Amino acid sequence: MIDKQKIEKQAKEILDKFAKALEEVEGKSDKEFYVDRNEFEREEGEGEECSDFKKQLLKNAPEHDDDFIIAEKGGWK
Amino acid sequence: MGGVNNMFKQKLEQIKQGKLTAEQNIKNFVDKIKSENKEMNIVLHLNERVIEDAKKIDEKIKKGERVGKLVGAGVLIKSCINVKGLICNCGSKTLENYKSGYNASVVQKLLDEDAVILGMVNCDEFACGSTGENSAFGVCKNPKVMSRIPGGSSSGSAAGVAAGFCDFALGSDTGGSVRAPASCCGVVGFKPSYGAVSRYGLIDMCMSFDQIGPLGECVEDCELVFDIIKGKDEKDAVSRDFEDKKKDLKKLKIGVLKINADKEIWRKIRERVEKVCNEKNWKFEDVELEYISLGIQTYYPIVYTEFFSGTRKFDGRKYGFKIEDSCGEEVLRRILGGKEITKAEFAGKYYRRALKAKKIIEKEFENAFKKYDFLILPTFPKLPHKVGEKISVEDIYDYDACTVLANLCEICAISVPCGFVEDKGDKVPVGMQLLGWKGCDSDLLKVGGEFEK
Repeated sequence: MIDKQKIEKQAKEILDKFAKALEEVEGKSDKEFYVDRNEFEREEGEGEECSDFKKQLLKNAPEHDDDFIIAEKGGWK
Repeated sequence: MGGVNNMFKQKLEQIKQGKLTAEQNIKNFVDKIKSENKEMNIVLHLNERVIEDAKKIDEKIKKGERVGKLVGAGVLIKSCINVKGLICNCGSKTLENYKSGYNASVVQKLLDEDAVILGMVNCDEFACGSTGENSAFGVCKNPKVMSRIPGGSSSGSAAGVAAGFCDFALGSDTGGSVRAPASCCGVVGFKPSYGAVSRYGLIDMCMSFDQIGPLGECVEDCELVFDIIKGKDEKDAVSRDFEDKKKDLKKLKIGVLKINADKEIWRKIRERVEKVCNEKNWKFEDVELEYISLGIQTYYPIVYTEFFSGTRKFDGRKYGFKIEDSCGEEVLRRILGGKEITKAEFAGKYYRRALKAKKIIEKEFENAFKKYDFLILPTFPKLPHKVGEKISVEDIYDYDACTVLANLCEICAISVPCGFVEDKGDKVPVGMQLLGWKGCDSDLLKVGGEFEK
């Protein structure tokens, strides 16, 4: 049985250590830091039809009814 | 160029000429897998149609039809790359019974060249790991040194090649997951430049870094496979055709990157660098970069964030089980860490800071590549530990120190075998890593071939 709280605490400690190590880079870059993908804009393709994809998708779903995947009500929050 | 005698290419030629049937080639692999896999735990699912598929290729040859460049070759695929009709469980109980409904673009390209998919191989759960020990189905054996970890996360891909279970394998590399196991298992692993190979059909770990790459017995095998799987794909928005930047390979300047690693590993690499560079009359010198020591601290916050985001689809509705209820410790650590980061008050402290550091490291490498054609460093900074040995999480993350740099900079990288180091009675394989700037993949493969034996 995994101790979720222990793992969570460990993850936070690791992240804090890493964030501290990265303090020195603050203010060192005047470049935009987000990943810019504008040069890779794709053109709309023609697409393709896959006759058995839906059948396989429904087979993988834990619960389904005809053409629909069944999910619990109110569990989306 | 090219360093070793290429048995694979000779075999392909024999199949084309009808001297060896595709069926016989595939049957040899299937027999070997069936007799040895119980102990090795490399193959998770064998393709039941595999002999039938091979027979179809033999029919094409008999009829004199055009056959592809990989005619009758047996391929193993990491279990996070979709192959239609096969179980793609990502080494996790979460997707234990998930059967792919489509082929990844790379798989389709291999099939179009008449390769035969032998099956799906073991890996660290959702590609989260550097050791191979995080698979929900148990660690696979390292065929070159059975007591040691095979490296990860593409553990089964590297071990499959080393065990002679296939002609070549595909893996995915987010922070070294192709190169690290290649180093541990004494084979070649190639991570193409980011975007050079379509990721469509790869179940993502961290979409800004993920890249599919080949593993083979020698560099030439990886080169052959890369030439087939590379290229822009309309199904992957970041895939692209790189401009072919050919270098004059007679006059190269190589930088040997100063980075913390085991003394014996460095000794092996330095010997090889001196030998090859002197023979080829290439210049080489040590190079020091200021921020590479921050690779791990930069890489993991980005991975945690994107992994958390990417795993929201595993809610147990469309396929499998809810990930948080069915995964192992490392996957849960990344999910919970990523969840923490995505809280608004922490985004600046962790994620944005890491993105800034990424840019700085990338710039530093860009400048280094203005001076040097290629950079060399170890693949794995330490000798791989014995299976089951207790290692702290942070020490395991440190295994990635030499490999994450290529992913952070989106450049190409290759690990080639560089001899063995004796350690505690084991003869442990060592890997040497070569880095090339974005789009220099073909040249890197050519130069990599000179450094392998």
